[in-house]
Amino acid sequence: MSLISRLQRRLLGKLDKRSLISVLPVVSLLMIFAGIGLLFVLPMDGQFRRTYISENALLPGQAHTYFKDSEENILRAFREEVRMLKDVSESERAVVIEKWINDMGYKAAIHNWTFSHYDDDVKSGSNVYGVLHAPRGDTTESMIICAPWINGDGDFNEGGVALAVSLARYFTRWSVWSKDIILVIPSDTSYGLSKWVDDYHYTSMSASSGAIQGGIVLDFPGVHEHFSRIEVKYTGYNGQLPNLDLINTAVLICAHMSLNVVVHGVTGSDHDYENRAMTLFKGISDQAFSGLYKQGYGNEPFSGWRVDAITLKAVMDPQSMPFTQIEFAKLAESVLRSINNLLEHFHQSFFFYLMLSPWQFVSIGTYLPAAMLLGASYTIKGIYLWMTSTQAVAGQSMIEAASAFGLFLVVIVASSVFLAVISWAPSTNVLTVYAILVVVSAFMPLIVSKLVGVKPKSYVNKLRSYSLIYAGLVLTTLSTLNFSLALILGLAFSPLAHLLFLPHDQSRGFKSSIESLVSSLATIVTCPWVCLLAYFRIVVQPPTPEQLVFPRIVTSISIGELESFLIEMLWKWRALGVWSFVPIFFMVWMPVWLSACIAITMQISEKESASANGTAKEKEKIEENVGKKVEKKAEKKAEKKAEKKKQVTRSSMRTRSADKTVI
Amino acid sequence: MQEKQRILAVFFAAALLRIATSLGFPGIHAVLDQRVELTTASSSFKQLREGLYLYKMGISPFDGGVYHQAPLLLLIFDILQKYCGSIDASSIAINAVYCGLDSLAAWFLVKISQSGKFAGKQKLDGWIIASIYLLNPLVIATNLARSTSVFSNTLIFGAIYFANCSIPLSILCLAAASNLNIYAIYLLPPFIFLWCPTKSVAKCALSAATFAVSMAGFTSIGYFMSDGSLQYLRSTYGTLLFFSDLVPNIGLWWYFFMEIFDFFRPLFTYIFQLYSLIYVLPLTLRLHREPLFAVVTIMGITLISKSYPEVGDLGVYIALLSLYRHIFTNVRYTLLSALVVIHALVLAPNFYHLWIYLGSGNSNFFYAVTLVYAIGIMLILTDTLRATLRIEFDGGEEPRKAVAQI
Repeated sequence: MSLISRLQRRLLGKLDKRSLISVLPVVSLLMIFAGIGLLFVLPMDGQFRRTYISENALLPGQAHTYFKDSEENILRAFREEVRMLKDVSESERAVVIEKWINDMGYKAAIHNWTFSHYDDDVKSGSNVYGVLHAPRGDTTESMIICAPWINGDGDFNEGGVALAVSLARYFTRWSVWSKDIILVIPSDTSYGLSKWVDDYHYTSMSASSGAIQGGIVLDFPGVHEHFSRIEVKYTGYNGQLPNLDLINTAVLICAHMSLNVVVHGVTGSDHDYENRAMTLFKGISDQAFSGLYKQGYGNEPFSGWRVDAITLKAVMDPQSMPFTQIEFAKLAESVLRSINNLLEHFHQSFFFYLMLSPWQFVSIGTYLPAAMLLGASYTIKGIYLWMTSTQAVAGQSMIEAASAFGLFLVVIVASSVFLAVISWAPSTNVLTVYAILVVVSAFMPLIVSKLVGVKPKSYVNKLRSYSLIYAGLVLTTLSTLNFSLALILGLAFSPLAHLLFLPHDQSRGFKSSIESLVSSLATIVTCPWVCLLAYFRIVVQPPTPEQLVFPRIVTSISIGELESFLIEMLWKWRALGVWSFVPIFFMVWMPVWLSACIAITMQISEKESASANGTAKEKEKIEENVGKKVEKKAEKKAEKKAEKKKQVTRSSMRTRSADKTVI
Repeated sequence: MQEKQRILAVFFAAALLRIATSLGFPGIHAVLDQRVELTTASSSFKQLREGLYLYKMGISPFDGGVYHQAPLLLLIFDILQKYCGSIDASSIAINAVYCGLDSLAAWFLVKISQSGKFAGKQKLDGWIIASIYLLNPLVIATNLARSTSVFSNTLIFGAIYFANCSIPLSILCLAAASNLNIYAIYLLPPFIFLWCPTKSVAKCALSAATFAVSMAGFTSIGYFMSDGSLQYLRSTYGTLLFFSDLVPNIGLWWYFFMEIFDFFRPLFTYIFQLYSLIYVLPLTLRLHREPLFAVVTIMGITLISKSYPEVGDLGVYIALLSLYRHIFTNVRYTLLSALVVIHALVLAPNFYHLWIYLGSGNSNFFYAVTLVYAIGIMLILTDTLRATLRIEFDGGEEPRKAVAQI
């Protein structure tokens, strides 16, 4: 302690403590800007690193690939067969595929899956999968080759499935495998595959193998046999990323085969700052919004199970499609050969990174400060509000602190009730339940602040301080789990920390009306419901140019689409355990916003807080006294003002007379 | 509402909360029991049941590396099982025992505060003290994890309470507590001052001797339970002393012992144990006017320096601090230390999850958090100690000048 106080003395010297405290809000604001600024620094030269293979065992691209033109006929035949399955029901497809891979020597099985919310609200389908026991392995390790029937964009993944099956057939002829190969053809990229991964780890399935070391998902949609470039998709649910070595392996092999490879769809050269920044920001948005409502690309369900998986997506750009499906197959073969080489689970390299291009990345040490700065800025603002509100006598401020904390707990409990209600709401009524919650959350601040009654300003500041410290705590924690989400949330709340002014006495008319306007704007802009709707309007259902006029931009929202968006979001939370949205929305955003709203609607007594220990009578007395004092002060002030006015008029008269004399 | 009714309301609410959670979510016990922050080798309910099962089957639970808790616990639960049938974590008997223990502890705490003999003259209301203990999330979680440290904690509170009215009972309580949790032995020196305020040598020696005898009595239970083998000493107290069950916890030991070469182990075991012991006598002597505060502070130090700490101990420490209302007006870093500890407590499960389940983090993450936690506890410790000494220096409980708090 003496060390700290000595440090404090050394640092502060003779500086006034008060002035130091008053600097805190500025520091907090600067931290937000510094956090955002850092993101723009990251793509600059010298800030990022080139990727490298950290795990020597991988040996990417070293093995010769033998999936050659002789296989192409088989691949074409499979494509033909798969094309015929396009309009067949899923269970029939599964039976066909099961027979195929059974004949190849795989131990095949059909995995029927269902997710049900209520009895009438069911998602179901049939996955089919097969296990090839490794000639050189002992069934303790395996790797995945997966091709969903429907890819992330909703297209029929004809090429992917045919490639996976023909690769599977081709793999049986090799004796190099030291890890079992699991071929999975799931119904879709999210629910079906997720259920398969869950069941693989939780239950004993009829065909099984050991721990999955890694996997690739093949995405080759449509009837084309050519493609323009490979896009590597790697972002998992809840901000989980696979080991960087796996991505590097895929990228390096692409380079060996002179395939064009991109991440996050940015095709430009990585020598440009703009392209790097674009990749960075697209990566951040992909990570933050992964699993919000979209189907995903197939690598997501493996996250959270210690399975590193990537999706290799063949992008078809009609302008030029120089690469053939054989090259895609070779790429898949080569990546699997590399995973096969692993001696231990992916552990070298990085799990926390942001890509700037397929060849460039920033690691956690460089980018984490951005989210940490944002998170800490809330904590600092919270500390400031706390410190400015504990000037009164200690004992009574303790009671006030406890009571404000109680109010904050009420807000948290209310928000968790919201979460429980929305999680249990049947899908058919989701829109109604949302509407009710919107109304409840809109009126809750008004009712709560009425019930709490008139409170001193320090009470309100304590409430705000708790909510900001809570926000800071959650954001710093979240930034290690899902950096991008923490960053975006941190930005979304920031007006609540800095643009919220508590109403004070009416005398300062213009300033206070501006302030109240700013505060109400801040609460509207940061309102979780408004932001949700805005996200839907901008990203999910982008407005046409004619709809950009004010009333039409709201009225032209398709209710049906909004409903399915909300339902999908809830399904992702309930079935797939995507906690990045629904729980964060209700348990983090809602309480912070609600307590800010309560703070600005609360009636604030101008007097210093009366002794909370004393009886009501004493309180009244004190209030009376204070009131009298205030009155007296006001009188004195008025007198002084009058005197000043007189002086002013006198002096002005003097100057006038002087002017006259000059004239 | 009357003071008494308020206290009763808090007790009722706390009991309801515990029992309702246990009956509503019976799976929660196993989940919490697996959290390394909440239970350790010295307090895990799961391990206790395994030990009990072995004991029932006629196999010595002290052979092999399953059971590291005091034989006394085995005896208690054996009797409990005999008379109540099931000792499932959510069974009625276990619910009643754990709920009763926590309520008893809170009742002791309220009585200690009301007697006004040991703690300061400025008191918090009884219901506030009761709720600081009973409604503390750390205490609730420890209770629901069915950590057996609940027993020793209650016994320590009991020892403090009985020091006021019945010294033999107090000695017995402390001996039983030390039997369950070996680090409670550190509390003996300040307790001797509690037992003999006059500090006469004969009396002190007598109480110490009584303590030693009863401690030996409790410890010898294991001798009879394992049919005359001394193996139990090695696997219960030996584990705590030599840190042989190498599992991560919220303390500072595990990482160190994971990293060092085996031939350094004895040296560093002694150093670490010595470190936790070394504060006992100086603190007792310095705080001889306020022996209870010495007890509290020593408990605070063992909170981070003992081999198998758990976060429930922090709940106990905070509850004991709540006896000293005047300290809170004299401490400087309330918000700072609270924030450090809260951040550590939130980040610890998060980093453990990253390390063990997701595999994207590693042990350094969790270790860093345990360091932050230790720093937070040290802030609280030094701050409260400074405040106490300052009060002693000023000669009054009111601060001379307002303390600037952060």
